[in-house]
Amino acid sequence: MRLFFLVLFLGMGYCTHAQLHGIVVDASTQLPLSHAHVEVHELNAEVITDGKGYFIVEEIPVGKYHLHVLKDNYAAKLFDFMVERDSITTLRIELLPSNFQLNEIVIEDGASKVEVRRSSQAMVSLSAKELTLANGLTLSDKLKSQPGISSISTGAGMSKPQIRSYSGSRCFIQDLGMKHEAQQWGSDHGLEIDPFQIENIEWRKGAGNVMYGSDAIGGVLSIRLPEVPKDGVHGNVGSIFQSNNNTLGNSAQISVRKNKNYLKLRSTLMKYGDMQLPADSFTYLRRIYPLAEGALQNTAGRDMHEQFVFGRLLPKGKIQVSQSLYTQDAGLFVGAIGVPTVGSVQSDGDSRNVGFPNVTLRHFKSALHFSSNTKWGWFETNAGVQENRRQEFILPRREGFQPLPNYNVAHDLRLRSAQINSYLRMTSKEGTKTLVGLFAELLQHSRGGYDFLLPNYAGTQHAVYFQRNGLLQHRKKETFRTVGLRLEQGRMRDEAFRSPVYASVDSIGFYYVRANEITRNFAGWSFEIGEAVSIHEGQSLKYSLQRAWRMPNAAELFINGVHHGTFRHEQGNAELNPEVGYLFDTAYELQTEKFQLSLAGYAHYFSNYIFLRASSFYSELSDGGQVYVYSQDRVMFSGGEMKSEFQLNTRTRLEWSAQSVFSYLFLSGTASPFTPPISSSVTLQHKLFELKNKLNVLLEVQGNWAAAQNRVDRNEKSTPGYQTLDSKLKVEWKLRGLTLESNLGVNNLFNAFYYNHTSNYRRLNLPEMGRNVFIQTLIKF
Amino acid sequence: MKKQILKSFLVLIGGAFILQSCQQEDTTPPAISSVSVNEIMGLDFIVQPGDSLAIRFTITDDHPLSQMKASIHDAADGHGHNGEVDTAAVAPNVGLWVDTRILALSGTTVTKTLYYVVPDTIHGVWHWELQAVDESGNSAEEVVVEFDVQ
Repeated sequence: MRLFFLVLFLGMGYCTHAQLHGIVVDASTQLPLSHAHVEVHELNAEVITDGKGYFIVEEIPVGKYHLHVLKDNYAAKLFDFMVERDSITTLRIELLPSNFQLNEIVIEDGASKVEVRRSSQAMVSLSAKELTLANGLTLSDKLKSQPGISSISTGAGMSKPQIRSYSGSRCFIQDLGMKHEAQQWGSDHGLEIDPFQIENIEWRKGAGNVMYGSDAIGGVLSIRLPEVPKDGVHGNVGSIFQSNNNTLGNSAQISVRKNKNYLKLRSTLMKYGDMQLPADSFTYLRRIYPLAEGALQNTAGRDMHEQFVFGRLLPKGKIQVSQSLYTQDAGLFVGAIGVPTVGSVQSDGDSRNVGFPNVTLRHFKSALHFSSNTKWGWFETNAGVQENRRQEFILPRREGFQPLPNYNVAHDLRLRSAQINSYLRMTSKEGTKTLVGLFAELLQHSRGGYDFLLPNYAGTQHAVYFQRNGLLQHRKKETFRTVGLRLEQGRMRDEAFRSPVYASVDSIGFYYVRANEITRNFAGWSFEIGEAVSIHEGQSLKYSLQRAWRMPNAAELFINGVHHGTFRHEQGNAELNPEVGYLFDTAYELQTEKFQLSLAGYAHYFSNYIFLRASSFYSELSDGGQVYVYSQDRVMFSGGEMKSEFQLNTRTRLEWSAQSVFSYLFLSGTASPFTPPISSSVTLQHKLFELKNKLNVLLEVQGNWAAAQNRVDRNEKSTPGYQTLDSKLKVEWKLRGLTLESNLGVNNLFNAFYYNHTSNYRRLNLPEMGRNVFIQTLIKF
Repeated sequence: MKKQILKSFLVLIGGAFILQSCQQEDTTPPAISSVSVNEIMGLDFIVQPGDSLAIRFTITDDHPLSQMKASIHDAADGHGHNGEVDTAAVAPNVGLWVDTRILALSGTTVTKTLYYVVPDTIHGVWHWELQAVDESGNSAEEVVVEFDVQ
């Protein structure tokens, strides 16, 4: 390892400067294009083409780079180039006309910088503007507009993303260059990421095990590193108001850059009250529970987030230090942790307070990013530490003869982690991109509270990986092939724990062994091969085959207790083997000037998928119900997504998307839990008013449809289908250096009563939110 | 190339049909019915300390049953407001009434009567909860009977 870094830093000494000249033209007319944005991505250097379409980047160090070229009404383009010593590099860049706003975003894989055209997997990218103005309070909810992404929610303020039918430890979330390491094993645990903080997020359709590791078996959501701001002082303020649960959220960011140094600060505060349901009662366990004024008691909460980023541009790269602290205090509807009483669902007269039970989350991240152009290519390192603390406050209930605890903390779970991910990205003269990397992570978990779920444990994970993406010269059609390999090794070790079982009020009958001290070592490999074929201009086909490997997580190995959030006694299995999947993904994309179509399909087979299997026996713990044991068996997932956009005329656009997921557990013949139903949505957007590109007013109407989900897991409720209608007015206003974007709309316009199959409240027969008026604004200066 | 696209999507569609046609194991849950306390059907009862209770119920399934669990516990459900127990909604119970019985079952229909005596020293609201599971792990919708001990 020392030798690796020594060689690398010596390589960084290699530096002389040259110039880059170029012209940007219209691909169809060959006329020069003025005011096109040309960015040398690695250097964060941006120039704008002059009236004749020319641009010049002065003093560019020798090395390999790629450009992002953006212009209104043209498809964005990425362009690789090489700068040689004491030379002037000249480029000619052709842009294709396009009416689609999404193409303003440059889509590429965060680490390998392999752009979507060359990637063997489809990628979707969402900007800060799209996320801030998307429906929902949480990041997971805001991503739901993408076919293929849904969320597993617990009320309005807690949710986690679900990619196709994968969630939790099978979804890799990258934030500040690091794997977001939290207690994602619980289906009722939300994601501790502020949606306002995101400047750009990418979704890579399909597994990303080779590049991202064991947890990327179901998919990757990669939040791009905070971008280098432009010179001067800039900022933005985002706000949200929701009528349904009286949400009021504000987030402000300010960025300052002077020459090579920059600073970014963000602060977010969001408060929300109890959810309003389109019902005045619900039926659960043969009882009718009243809902006072339709409110679901104790679902209020407060989210806060602070982020600090400091960076410095180096002669051949940059260094960036980021710190963030996310906290959440949120109430849990009493039925979410046990059988409610009629009294406990009555209004307490305050719709904004957080009573018992409730959960407090605190997630701290400190990250370092370093990148440099070396003699061999771009070297990047992302390292950092995280602490995730989850405290569940539940007024203790007497269980058996056990003495009543004199404090309210049922669980205090603290996960600390440290990780480093370093890679070298090389581009050959022929344009072949090769990436080699090293990854290491340490985990340490400690527990507290009067209840028991997970013992104290520690873990390590190490990996070395390689990926190559290059043009196949012998193919008639332009074809890029991606090949990758990752070797991974990990260890998990827990501490023994036993809890007393009382025979009477004052005597312990025996000790129940919750966990034995066990050490498990794992080693395995992941492999990928795939191709991206350009069939014609604007038409491409992608396919990839992967062997994905995932080591069991701590909960799967060691958990042993009553998980109140899932109503069952969950039992780990220390004998589990790593999960191995064979994944086939394909995607087809068509883009013309007025029509865009994306199709994606997949078939995934796991020889030993890890899942919670319903046993035929009950827990010995007095508050425990049926025991669910982590088991392994064959599983298959398949499905697809479709998204199409039609530019009907200069003012009207139509969008149609659909998704389906099929899951099959061979052992039981059932579906996997939380499998989203087949669903579709149609959006019609019409420009009502336009004033010299300074004021735009658009009306958007969206119809959503979901089929009934009758293919369910054992003991999971089926869910009827539903239709909802949303509507919003979008205003975009530009005044000198200020941009205001605002949405005023209504979700669930007709106050439809429907269940969400992927909500933890579904099992309680609680419907989703009723009519909701919202106002969202984003001001940029 | 069009053939290539067609083949890729046919593989996926074919896979989906294969999944749909696969046979399922037993997924029908057992059912708990005819729950009565001292021969009175219902879910809410007012009882006195010292009362004898005979709780009778029937569990049925189309496949063999495995286990049942009947437990009595404090009805306080861990909720409260602003750090205090909401006394208007759920008064704190006085005394202790604890009983957990896990019984093995066999066959597809079981009718049982469980006998209890309300402790002399208690006051408040208690839940009697009955759960049942079959050999495949399908669980019945549980039944909760509420006893208001006055």
